[in-house]
Amino acid sequence: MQHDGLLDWTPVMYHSNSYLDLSVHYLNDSNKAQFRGLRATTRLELTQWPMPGYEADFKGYGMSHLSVAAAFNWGEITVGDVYGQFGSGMVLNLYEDRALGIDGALRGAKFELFPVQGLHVTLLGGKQRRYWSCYQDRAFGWNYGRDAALGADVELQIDQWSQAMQAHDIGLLFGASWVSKYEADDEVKIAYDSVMYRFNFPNWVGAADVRTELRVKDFNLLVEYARKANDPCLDNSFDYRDGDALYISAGYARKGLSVLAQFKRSDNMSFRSERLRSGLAGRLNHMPAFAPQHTYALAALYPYATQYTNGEMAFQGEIRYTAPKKSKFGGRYGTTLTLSGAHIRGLAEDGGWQMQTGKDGEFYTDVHVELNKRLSKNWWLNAMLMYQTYNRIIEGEYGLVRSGIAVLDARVQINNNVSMRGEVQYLYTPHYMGQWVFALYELSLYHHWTLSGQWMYNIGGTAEAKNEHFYTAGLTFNYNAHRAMLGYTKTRDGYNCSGGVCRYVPKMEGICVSYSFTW
Amino acid sequence: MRKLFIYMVILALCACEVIPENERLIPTEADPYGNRVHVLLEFTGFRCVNCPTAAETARTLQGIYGDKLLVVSLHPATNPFTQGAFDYTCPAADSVYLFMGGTASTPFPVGNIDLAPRNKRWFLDDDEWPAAVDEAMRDSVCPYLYVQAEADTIEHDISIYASCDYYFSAARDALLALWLVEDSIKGAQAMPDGSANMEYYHRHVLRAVADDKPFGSPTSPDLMRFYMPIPAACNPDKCTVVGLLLDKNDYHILQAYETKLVYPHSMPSADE
Repeated sequence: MQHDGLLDWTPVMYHSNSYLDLSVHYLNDSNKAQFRGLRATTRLELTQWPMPGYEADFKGYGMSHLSVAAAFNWGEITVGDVYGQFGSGMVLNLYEDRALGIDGALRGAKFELFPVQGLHVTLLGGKQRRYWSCYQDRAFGWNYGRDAALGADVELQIDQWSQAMQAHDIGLLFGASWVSKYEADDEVKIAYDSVMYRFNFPNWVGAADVRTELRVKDFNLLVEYARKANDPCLDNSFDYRDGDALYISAGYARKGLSVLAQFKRSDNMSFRSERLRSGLAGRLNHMPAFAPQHTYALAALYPYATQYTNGEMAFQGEIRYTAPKKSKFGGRYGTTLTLSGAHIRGLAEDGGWQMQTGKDGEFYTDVHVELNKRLSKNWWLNAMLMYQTYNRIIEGEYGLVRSGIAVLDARVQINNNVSMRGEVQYLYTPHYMGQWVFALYELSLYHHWTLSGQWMYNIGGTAEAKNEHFYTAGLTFNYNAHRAMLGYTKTRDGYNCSGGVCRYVPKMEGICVSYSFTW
Repeated sequence: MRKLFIYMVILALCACEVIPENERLIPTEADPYGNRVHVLLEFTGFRCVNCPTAAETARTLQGIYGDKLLVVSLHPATNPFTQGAFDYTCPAADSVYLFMGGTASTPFPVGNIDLAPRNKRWFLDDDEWPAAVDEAMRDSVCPYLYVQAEADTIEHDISIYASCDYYFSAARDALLALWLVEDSIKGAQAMPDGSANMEYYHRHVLRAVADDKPFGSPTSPDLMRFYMPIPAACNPDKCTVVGLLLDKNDYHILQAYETKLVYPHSMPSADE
């Protein structure tokens, strides 16, 4: 029950997101035939009473996805709802993420062609799904007069043509992409000097991306640059400037050691199929997030969201070292040590290459060291220390939250049928909601049953703190492809993020039941 | 034919329209809301037995003046007529009330036109409202003000962008205030016959203000953008945002513009 605080009691709300994916495959076994196979896929969704925190348009039900793909030895043709990503996704990344409620499929067609060895061409086009509304505005969703998106991507794998490069274990790739979106006009007015104007929106907006990736044995280097033409929209407050982004990633990996260093600068790169849309739907691209994705609850308490900033400069690095077994540091079973850091700041000025200084300019900092060690035949330990700075401007609020986080995660295998895992976490900060503690316990029995409980408590000490308890207890059953869960939960409000894209989830309390089956 | 098809595909893929700087804004016809709009501030409380009568007066005046008159009901917590089991107050309503010299003993119902005193009196009885509104309507100062409000269902807030006649604003040192107003709140109200009507509809009630600033912030020549959380007790479907252009020196309202919340997710397409 929920009390509305004024007059009356409102009824209990039931929430459910249900999906049924169906796929049929036909494989042509003949080696000589050009036709290799056929795949038909559909998805039924029932989100009429969605889980809390999803956008209004998310509510609905029906056949959200239908596609037929035919594979040939020269490529693949898909008709219906298609997904895709060009390069790192800075100009096109159409994907599905059910936890966030994102489904960026294009209803149209996609051609993937391999005309010669080392050449990969992708052409796609269609109307983007924005929950249910855009599919319902015309029967069968074929209203392309309102908006549509088209894209082309070419990748040349140069090393495929050079035996010398292959012999020296060198890989070289060049790629280029182009995406155009069409959108009918909208009327948005503005007044200047006692005269009312309306914005003259471009019907066609183009975006291009070029990239090269070089790999020499254990080293690899990726440089990618994307540019988007004038695209005044709600996200950028109707700014006509071109947007652009540079992404550089260098890595080294050999057995036991990996090093990664990345840089990104992006400005005005929000690219949607609908200019007056805010929220999560209707995104054609996805700027890669430069903040580590933590799975520990308190480390992920203040996650970074790329979609709320119009321009940023970001740095990220990671060194991972695994000491071999029976070495001095590695012990009997080996030890992995990870040092990772990320720092993200705003741009000093629109379109500039200078970082914004001062407190307000710092969006996010994460430095953490993590130790993963097997202590004995039955014991595993993971420990993490982390420093984080989070700018609440991402939430539309003000103020930095500087915090220190400690995590201890231990697992023990008691016998073949029983194992246990426990976590304790502590977050210290004098800012915002203050300190938090977290504990988790999992008991796995007979490979099929898992009993779990977790508790999170705000120690508070600040004006915003509420000294509140949050907890979840549940029983999970796994058997072959079946997974069922029954639990009781009380969760805090906050952001659920994946890859820098976030969804606000309100505070909720209730019984949760889930079931999934894959065959 | 095949070549033509290929050329068409290439052309469509490479389509991009660049709008030159001098063509980005198209002059358009004056908006009907560009006319001067006046604001009747109605101070009321659910325990005030004469307030429903005053609300009827406000409703009649709105019928006469149409879009040229906005009514906003304020339930200031300082006044005991608003205190009790039912809470329609908001801090901003109290700030405005206290600014105008309201106290715990100010008799309700009272009102004010455009946040300006009339004959050196801030609070006017409801029988004085028609004359005061008629007098205000003669004011010919008419700066442009335009407000658009987008409800964000993820953040549970409203994204507001506003523009105003900056040259006028700069000359008058104007401030822009944005008020969230909720209409048709079904609730309790003491009636003139002494009874309690539990199904009374409180109209155009002030619920929140942008940036917690009831008298607004300085204007800017650019498109101004604000965020305002939607209070938990509010029904967004019944809410509007009222933009107020105020004189910085005395907080007199120079122009007002009311706009409904737009849900971009379900916004009808331009060709519909």
